[in-house]
Amino acid sequence: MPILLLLAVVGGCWWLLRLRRGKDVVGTDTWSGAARGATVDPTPHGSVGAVTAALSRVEAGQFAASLSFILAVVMSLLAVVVINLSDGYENDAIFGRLFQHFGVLVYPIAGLALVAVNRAMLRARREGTIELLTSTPTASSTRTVAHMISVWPALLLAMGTLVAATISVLARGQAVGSWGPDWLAEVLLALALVAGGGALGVALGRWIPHGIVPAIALLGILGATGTLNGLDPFTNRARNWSLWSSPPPDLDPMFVLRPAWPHLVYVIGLVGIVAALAVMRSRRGWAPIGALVVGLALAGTGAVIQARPVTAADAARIANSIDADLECRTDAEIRTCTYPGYGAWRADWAKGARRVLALVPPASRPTPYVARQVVGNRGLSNLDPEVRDRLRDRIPAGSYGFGGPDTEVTWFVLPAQAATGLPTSVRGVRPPCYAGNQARAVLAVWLTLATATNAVDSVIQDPDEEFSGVGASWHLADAPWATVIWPSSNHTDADSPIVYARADVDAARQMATRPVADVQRVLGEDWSRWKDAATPTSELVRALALAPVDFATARKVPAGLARCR
Amino acid sequence: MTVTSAHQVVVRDVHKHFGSTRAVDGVDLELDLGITGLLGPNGAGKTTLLRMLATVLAPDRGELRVLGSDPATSAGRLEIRRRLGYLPQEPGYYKGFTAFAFVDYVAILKEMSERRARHDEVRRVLTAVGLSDVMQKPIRALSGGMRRRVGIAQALLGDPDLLVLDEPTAGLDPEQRLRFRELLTARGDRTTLLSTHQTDDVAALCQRVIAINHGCVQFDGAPHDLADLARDRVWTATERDVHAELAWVTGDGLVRHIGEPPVGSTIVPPTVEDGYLLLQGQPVGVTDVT
Repeated sequence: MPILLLLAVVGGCWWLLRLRRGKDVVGTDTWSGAARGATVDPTPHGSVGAVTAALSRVEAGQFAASLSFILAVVMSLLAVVVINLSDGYENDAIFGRLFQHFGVLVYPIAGLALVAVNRAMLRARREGTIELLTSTPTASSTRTVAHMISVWPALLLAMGTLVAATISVLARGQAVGSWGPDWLAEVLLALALVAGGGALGVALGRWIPHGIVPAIALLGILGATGTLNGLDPFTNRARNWSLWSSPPPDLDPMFVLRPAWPHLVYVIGLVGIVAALAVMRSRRGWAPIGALVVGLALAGTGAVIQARPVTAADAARIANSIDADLECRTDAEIRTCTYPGYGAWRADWAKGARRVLALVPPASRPTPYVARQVVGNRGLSNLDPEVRDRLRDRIPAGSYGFGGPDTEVTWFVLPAQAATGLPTSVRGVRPPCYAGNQARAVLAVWLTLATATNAVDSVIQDPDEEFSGVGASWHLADAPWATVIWPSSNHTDADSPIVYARADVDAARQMATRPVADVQRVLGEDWSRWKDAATPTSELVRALALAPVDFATARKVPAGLARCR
Repeated sequence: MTVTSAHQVVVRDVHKHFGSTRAVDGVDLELDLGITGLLGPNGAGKTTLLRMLATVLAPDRGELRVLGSDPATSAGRLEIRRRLGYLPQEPGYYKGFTAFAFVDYVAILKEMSERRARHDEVRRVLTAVGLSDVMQKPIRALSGGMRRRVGIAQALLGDPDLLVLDEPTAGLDPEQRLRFRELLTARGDRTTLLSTHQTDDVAALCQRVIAINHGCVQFDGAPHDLADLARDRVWTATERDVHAELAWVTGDGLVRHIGEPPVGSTIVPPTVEDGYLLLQGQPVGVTDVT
């Protein structure tokens, strides 16, 4: 559907341009007859605006028929196809992140517009018509402006590409974020980049009329963009001076700090400067000088504002934004909160929670149990300190991330941890806590094993796995007696809040071999005792008559971690 | 000093140098309504003079007045260009454009912004030069002569008050040249200045002829006056006379001579070409010199 839409846009451009062309006229060779008989109507001189419009229509037709534009169409179609074929559960595809990628989505269009317009600018030089063109009353500056306007098919193509990409993401139900003013700024930014490509093509054609120049300019822009985007987004705010400042990697979309509107003002200013310089090559009146001054003012203002550190107000806005778009629903004492587009996952979360809580005595169940989708901890340590401090206490219980079906174990382990009094979130910058030799940890693992269908494979993690907590990291290899019950950290946005002892997991595995009703009968009599952090595993082993496990090492807290309270 | 005159074109002591080359060296002339031919050998300064009149080149010294306006001012240039049709010696063509699209493009540059009227005018001029059947063909597919006619067509746009044509008939076949003559004469009371090496075009078309050489005007008068320069100085013989300034074998096998005829020679009526050749003192456009 989005691809059809994009094709419709391209077809519309072609039809509009076709409509503007003259019809074929086939007549007879009446050289002398026509010369004698024809009467010439005096043609009134068109205004500069009318001539510019007429000229830009002709040039737009040439632009749309150029190889560069056709390439741009193909690349845009490919981009939309790739978006449609990409993994539907990747964070990068969600709406909030998509619209921050609008700029790079139209980069090929802008670049090819530069090439096409520059080639059109050099046509007179290439074909030797400069002398003829000079003898006409139309000023060179009028032709310059007409060339700049002639990129409107590229603007339509860019718009079509953005709409098609957005529909692609919306259609897959991954629209996280809102249609706020930032979205509009990103759309306008994309269009400004395309217009800027055209303006730069014209300016280069006017000032450095050589065919190789556009290629050099494109390489320079790409190099500068890459260099600026490689700067640390939090320590070097000059990164935002990149024409398309990419969202920082490993950072959830709500945390992106680039101020959209100042960046738009900055880019519009740059486009104005380039356009004014292009016109000033042949005309140095007040209008181009005024445009240059305005462009410099806009670019300077935008550059300064977007390079300022994050203000407290911005930080608060970003911190608050993680709650603003959540949609919560309570059903049978289970409250699920998701971002728009992720509602389908409520059923899975609720199913896991119901199975787990069914094994817990009613009086001991968390009521309501909250399954809440969060933007996650991934990259949180990279956040601007101002923002991170505000977020420290906002990572809530029930940390369901944006991950896909392979995170199934979290549907069970999170309610299991909640039902046994263990933390369900790392809460801010603290690293996970260690629950070794705590009876409640054994209970949590048992609840998970007894309810999840594929949890066993996830229980023991690879010793080489590195877990990056918030503000700290540790290796399982440094504490071989410890483990976590969590999917691979690459597949979830929330770090595991608990580090278990392998001995406790072994005890839980023994419990899992028993009939559930038997275990429930023993535990249900005194659930609050087993939830107590002070109750050691050994007591549970005794109560259930499990085989002894190695508790000696289980008591040892891995370096860098604290015991769960 | 400011030139004021009722003439269509006034040139006063105009100079144009390119490095050490004096392309135009103190030319004075006036043009009125009608067709004027500009003759001269290669490098005589014809094209430079035409480019100055077409406002694409500024003189180093001297004054110009074209259609009552001063091309030294931007307002004057604009006014001139609005009433000018110009065919450069090498106009260049957008070869990817059709003939219609190219002339339409020039028409826009001539401020014909109203689409329907402009297209009517483009069809008119293309039909006038006999290109109505090929106007939708790309220029790259047209022959050299057809391209030249596309150039002529764009110059005719808007029926300009002043038509400046630099070698318009170069590459045209005889039939096209005849049609071109008919086209120009049909312009009526307009000013046309054309440079050419075709003296028969000048004889057939022009009310006035100007011959220049080394950047200076050598002759300015009617074509028959140019021919009269050779009156009683052109004769034919069966063999070449070594005392003749110029001599060449004509199609009927006789040798046509220019110079001081020996006594008893067969004097023939002179042509414009004879007068021009005598003026230049060297063969120009002459083949088969014996």
